[in-house]
Amino acid sequence: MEESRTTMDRRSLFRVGAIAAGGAGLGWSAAALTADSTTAQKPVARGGATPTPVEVMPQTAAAARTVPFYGANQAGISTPAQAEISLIGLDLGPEVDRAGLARLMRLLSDDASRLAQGKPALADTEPELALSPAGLTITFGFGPRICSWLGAEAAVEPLPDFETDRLDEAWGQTDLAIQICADDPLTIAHARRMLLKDCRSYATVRWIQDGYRRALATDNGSAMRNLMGQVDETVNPSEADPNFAGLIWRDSPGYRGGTTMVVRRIRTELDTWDEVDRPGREAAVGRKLDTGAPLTGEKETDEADFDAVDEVGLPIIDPASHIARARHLSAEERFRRRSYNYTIADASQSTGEDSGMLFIAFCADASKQFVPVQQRLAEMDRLNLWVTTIGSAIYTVPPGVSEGGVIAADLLGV
Amino acid sequence: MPRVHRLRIGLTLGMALLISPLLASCGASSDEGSAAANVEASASDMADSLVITDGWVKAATDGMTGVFGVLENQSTELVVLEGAEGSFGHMFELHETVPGASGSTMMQAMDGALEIPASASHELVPGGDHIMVMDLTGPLISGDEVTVSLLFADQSRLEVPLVIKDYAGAQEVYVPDEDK
Repeated sequence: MEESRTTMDRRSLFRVGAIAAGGAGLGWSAAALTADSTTAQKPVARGGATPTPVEVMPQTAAAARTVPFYGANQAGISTPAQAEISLIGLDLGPEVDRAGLARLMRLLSDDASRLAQGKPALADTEPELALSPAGLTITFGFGPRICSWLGAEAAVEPLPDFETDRLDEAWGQTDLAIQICADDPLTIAHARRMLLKDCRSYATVRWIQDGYRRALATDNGSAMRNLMGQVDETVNPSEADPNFAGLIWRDSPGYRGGTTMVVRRIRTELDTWDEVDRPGREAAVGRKLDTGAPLTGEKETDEADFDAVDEVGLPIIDPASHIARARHLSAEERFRRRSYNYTIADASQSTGEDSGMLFIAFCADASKQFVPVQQRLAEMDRLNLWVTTIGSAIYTVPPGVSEGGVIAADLLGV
Repeated sequence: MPRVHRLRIGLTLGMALLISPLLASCGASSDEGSAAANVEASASDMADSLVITDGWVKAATDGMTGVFGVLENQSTELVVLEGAEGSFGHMFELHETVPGASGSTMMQAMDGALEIPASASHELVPGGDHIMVMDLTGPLISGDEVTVSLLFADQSRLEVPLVIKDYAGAQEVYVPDEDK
């Protein structure tokens, strides 16, 4: 590449100096004009300031792994959860209309498609950081205020107030959500920075919610563990589930392949959780801490037997335990969870940290699939002693697009 | 300034507008299909020989800005880019960047045309060679698209769509005219 960049031969057809151009009435600083004039006569390599990046070290397979951005659905939903997340909530500026959002989505879709392939974004100032996609997915969602711009089929209802919620608007509903997931935190940071640079003229950041699961190198493929030590997401539809498509993707003609994203920031009270011994912890959830098996079973994947009783006739799984309350009572009360642990500093807590779970769930219809389950948990769940939802938001997630397409472009009618 | 005038005159003298068949695909990836089509047409003129990818222009409210992209000569002939024009600015110049005082870089108008040898690529980048646009006719809003016309030595021209991007770099700092 370098060779091709220095091939231009200096020819003197015309000598057009900057001062001549300045005669057109453009203003640049006197300081610039008084710089050392001899520098202009030194031989220079042409066009050589930002070379196309070259990977100097061989990449690991994990660094090179890509997840297609283009497809019937957006990436980062059915995709097995990567190690890390950065979820960004943004509010559109008051002057931004549908056409403005369409312009923004054109930029962001292009950025996301390139970065997902391990290629620098257009006008990327740190192109080398783009070369390790590490399974990067970037997913775009729109809050209820924006949904009306996308048409009736895209609609989502704001989540109801749940009795146990203690919401802080700092983590509240925003106009736009961008979910960035990858197995490498630097990849995420670069993607986030690139996307936010393109958002700058259109939107302001309300929050960034970072989260983590097991690092890729130590992930053995088992269900995630949360900071309370519990095996989590055991009952979770994946693409292998025959009902997956019906549960997750919308099927209306203009929105086929879209979905809904529920975001809940659930703080865990780790200081009081520390006071609970293992039997109490297992009873609160209804699962064993070591294997994640239900208290009535041996393996994580065993079906919980909610009717089983012990020798004195008491239920082995407490009806008020988390899994007893959270289990789906109908086939449709299921959704795909893709949650991450979070930790930020909090000097007001005895633990010194505000930790918990960035709960993310995808489903076709949150009001039928997610809300009934959350209502039951808000009514009664032994885990509520130690968990408090402090942030809540819902987004419609438009369908994916084919190569070169722009997310939501057709819906925005531009 | 003289060069821009010369090109304007050249155009008003009734030069046929040879719109590249690649127009629709410019700015997208230079996939095999379009590359092949382009080589076939390479005998006709310079505009047909050049494939532009990743064309973009820095967003600006007024004043001046820069045009960037990757120029790939897919023919077996030399391509000579002499200038550019477009409805979004009054003056377009080919610029190069040279080392300035204390490690900085400064830009100046090129002495001549930009030559792209057969089968070679040339990048127009912030901090390097680029097309400078002066006296914008209106704001360039990020996410919008504008078209620049590249003007070649054989009088052919190529319309290139440009994405407008917010960009903090590519600040226009000039060297003084060495001939002054």
